[in-house]
Amino acid sequence: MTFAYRRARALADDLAAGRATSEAIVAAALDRIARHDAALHACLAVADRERALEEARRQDRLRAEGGAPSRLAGIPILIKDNMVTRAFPTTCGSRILEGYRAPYDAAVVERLAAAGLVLLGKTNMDEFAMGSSTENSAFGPTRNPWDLERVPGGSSGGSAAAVAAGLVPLALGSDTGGSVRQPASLCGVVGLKPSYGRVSRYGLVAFASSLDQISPFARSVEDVALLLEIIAGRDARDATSREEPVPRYADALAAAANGHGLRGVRIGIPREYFVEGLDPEVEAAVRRALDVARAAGATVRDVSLPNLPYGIATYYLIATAEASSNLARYDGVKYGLRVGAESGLRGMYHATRREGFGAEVKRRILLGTFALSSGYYEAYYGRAQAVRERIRRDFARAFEEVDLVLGPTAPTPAFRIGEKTADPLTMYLSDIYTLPANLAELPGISIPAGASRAGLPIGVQILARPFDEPRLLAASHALEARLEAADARPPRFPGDA
Amino acid sequence: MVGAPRYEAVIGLEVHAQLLTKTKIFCACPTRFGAGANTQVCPVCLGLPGSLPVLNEHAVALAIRAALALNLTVEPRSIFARKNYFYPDLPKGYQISQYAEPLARNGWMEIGDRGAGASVGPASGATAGAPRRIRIHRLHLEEDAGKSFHPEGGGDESLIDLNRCGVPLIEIVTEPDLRTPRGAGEYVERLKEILEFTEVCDGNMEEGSLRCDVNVSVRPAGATALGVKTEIKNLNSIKGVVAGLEAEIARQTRVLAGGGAVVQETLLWDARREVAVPMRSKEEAHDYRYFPEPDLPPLVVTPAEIERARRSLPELPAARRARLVAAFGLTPYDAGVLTATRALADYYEAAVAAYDPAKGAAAAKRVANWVQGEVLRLLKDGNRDIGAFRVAPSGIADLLRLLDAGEVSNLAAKGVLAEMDAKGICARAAMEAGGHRQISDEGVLREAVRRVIAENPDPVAQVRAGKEKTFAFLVGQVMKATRGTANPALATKILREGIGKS
Amino acid sequence: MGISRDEVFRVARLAHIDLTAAEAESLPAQLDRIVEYVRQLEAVPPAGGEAAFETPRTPLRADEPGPCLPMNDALGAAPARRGDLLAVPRVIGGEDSA
Repeated sequence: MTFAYRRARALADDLAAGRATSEAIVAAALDRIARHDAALHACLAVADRERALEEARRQDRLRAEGGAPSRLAGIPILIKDNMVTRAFPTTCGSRILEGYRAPYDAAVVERLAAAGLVLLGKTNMDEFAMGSSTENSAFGPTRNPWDLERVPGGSSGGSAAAVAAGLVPLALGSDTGGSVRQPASLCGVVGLKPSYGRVSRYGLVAFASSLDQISPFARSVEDVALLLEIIAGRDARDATSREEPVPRYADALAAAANGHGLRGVRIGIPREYFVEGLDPEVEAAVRRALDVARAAGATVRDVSLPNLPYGIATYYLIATAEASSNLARYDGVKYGLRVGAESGLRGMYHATRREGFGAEVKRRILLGTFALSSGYYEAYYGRAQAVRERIRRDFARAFEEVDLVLGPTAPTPAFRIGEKTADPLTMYLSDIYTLPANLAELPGISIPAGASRAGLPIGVQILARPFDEPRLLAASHALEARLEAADARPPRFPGDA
Repeated sequence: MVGAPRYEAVIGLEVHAQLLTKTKIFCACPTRFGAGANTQVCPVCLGLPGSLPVLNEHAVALAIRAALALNLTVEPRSIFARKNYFYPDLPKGYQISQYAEPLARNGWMEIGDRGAGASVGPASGATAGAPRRIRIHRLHLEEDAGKSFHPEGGGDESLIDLNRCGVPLIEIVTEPDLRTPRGAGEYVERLKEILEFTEVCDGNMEEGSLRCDVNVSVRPAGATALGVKTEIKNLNSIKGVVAGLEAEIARQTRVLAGGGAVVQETLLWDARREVAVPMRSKEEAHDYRYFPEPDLPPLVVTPAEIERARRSLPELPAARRARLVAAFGLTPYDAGVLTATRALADYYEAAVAAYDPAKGAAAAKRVANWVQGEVLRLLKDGNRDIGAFRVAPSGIADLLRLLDAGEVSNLAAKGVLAEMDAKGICARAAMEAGGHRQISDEGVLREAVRRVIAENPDPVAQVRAGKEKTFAFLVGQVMKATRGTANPALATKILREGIGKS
Repeated sequence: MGISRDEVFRVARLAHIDLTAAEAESLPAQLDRIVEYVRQLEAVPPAGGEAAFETPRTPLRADEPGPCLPMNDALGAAPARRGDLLAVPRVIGGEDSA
């Protein structure tokens, strides 16, 4: 039996039926990582083989005794290297935390362990989650499994690539402005950003506190739902995590089978989405998805999000302001890199942060510091908060007319490594469709919707009201089935023999 | 100097008070003073990557209590904000505080009068001693930072202990209503009392649970515009506050009188040398880049919660003193001594109630004498506070009743009290055990007097010759012979009779 | 008009970051473009009115002690340590001077 590219749900069924063991599944995943990660560079740290197999065997024993802790117990998973783990270093893709070992585990890491998933390692990312291509990692870029000369997207490029190449069926990333949805689109997998406050941020190294959410990657909407069930829920250690109860997301999907997820659903398509820069093949994929949805019983209408054009500016002021403060702790005093101590305290601060941070991180810290600084706060940060409020209200008004908003995830398929690095602003503009969901705290999912003529994946994005993940997942699940774009395998990474 | 312009000082105070919670403001680490360095820390107060703050409900309750005791309006909604700066004892590179929307605003406190007093406008220039209302601009919650040590001769390093990071603080800021160093000292004294009485802060300035910064400027008497102000930090005693202000006011006055201009700067008070030293000037003034803390949603306080806090406020020091003066006829000074701490005030009133349930003024005064006198003396000798005193309030009452019944003399009673405290036993037992019971038995006293007369022929002769002073000596001998327990009045009478014979 | 070169270096001092030689060449111009881009928000009139979504209130934690980190976990990653204390280059000038 081979396991590469099998959905988590299928693996779970195999495990439950005794057709497979976790040991075999985990061993196969480790083998596949060992064979393929050199080309991909998705992983920054991989579990010790013996330890991982021991945990897998333990899950097999628990299952045999009738005590499997969850449906996904025994299934391997990778997580982005900005969630702290005692078992692995946490670098956030940065020199300033190279080799850093946290003395505690993130809340999601605890939940995964309690649910019996087997954590196989940490994945590559843009430094401190700042980027849309994973080219800003201090440890080298991750490559897109569909074309190794292209980016997998970012900042959660490692996790997306790992799932896309069938290394593991499940992975976690974090999404602040699209850092899970965009790589999902560029790599041809499913990526869901939950509503803000759905998943605990305790242990997620902060980039932009009011925008960050830990987000699942998988090969199907159902798998994402299963994983979301495990990581979602109020955590007393995160004051921004919400009281909302966690429904059985996957069960709700089963109930919405046979396309019921789309019947009678009102879908809005914002007219502000159709701007210059939107690749015609991406636009075509979106229109096809809308046709498919209509055929399944959904109604589609235009909506307007008039402040959407200001979204990028708004995001890049708020996110960078929060980041400039969140990253002040990296100063060479308590952990991480320290250089320049011989030039005194101030010299140490300046030199450590010069050597430890890459150019993009520096750019964003400077922009954020500027936006908060005396004399500029009102015009920059203050104004951005006001516009954020307007964007929130635009969505609230739209959701009075429709239940879901559909559109592109990214304006283009995967671009070449190095293609957008000369001009940071160009890179920022590619977040246009994803970052509004973070600003408005909405859940959003990207599902594969087809491929370009060059064979590169194209995703579509669906957004819903806060905490309306059940409707979002049901509709996405129905659309996924009809679009028939899921489960594609990059030719360069065939399944195991 | 005749003809020289007079100057007046304008003073504002910022006080930071550590709250008496068990745990820190944003994490569950204990707040005990004196723990081993870097042992009371966790990912949150260490600012480890990925950590997040969660607000301590008791810190909020104490802050509300303090705000109400200082007559501030508690805002139903307040916001935490980040104050961003770099310093090794500030692990996150920012302090979580409150800025644009603090917990409470617009309060006041009276100084210059022990208890009730008419409010006097802040610009009245009233001299120290007249009752004045000092306006309090705001009160807000924030976290404390760690401690840095700069070892003498330790060369090129500073050492950091992060235990104190995250201890809850309230910051209380006055309007610039104070006018004299003494007034400022009194403000701090009264504030300490209020915070101690309400069990918000233990007010221990030596340990740093109460810290003071002052802002002071000087202007020609009668001017309305404010002069340039300087800030003095590191004043860790009330004496320091007064001395620091006196020194700085004198300095600024000299500068202005000499035609110069005061430079705005921050000074550090050196208590040993009694001088304020300018902190090394920085290239740029601080830009703290305050913005709302995204990890903490707004703090919401309901009217019901504020009402509950208000109802649970204990009687505040000024009101308590006023009541003792009115109900018991104590002098304001005595009332002040007895209400120096809440525990002492509670002790005193419990003793009064135990001695005289009707709480008449005479009884209250009697108890006051004993508490102010012997009790405080015993505590001072042992360097203890009332909490460590082993005599319960009812014990004072028992002792006074023994005195009333003549079973023990005043002098002996002091010894009895000391025994009760030392051994933790009741009044009667201490009296018996120490042999303090007053002797009023005439037979026994006659025998003692007879022996004293027999053993002191010369002094007796002197008394008979008219030397009264020697009589006191002989009374002392009788007391000595009876180990201080002779009923003094009776012993004196019998001695007089005994000498008078023959 | 975005941000001047001098302004970029002033902000870098505020953020306690030195730029490498290469960054000192390229970053100021890049930031100038970015700031100019974000200035488009000036066209949006200042908003008024209530929040679209209800603002939650901050949850409160009971005042009960919890476990602290063992010292080796707390200071284990410290670049410099003297016994139980963190060591840094000497602080000059008192609080906030760095």
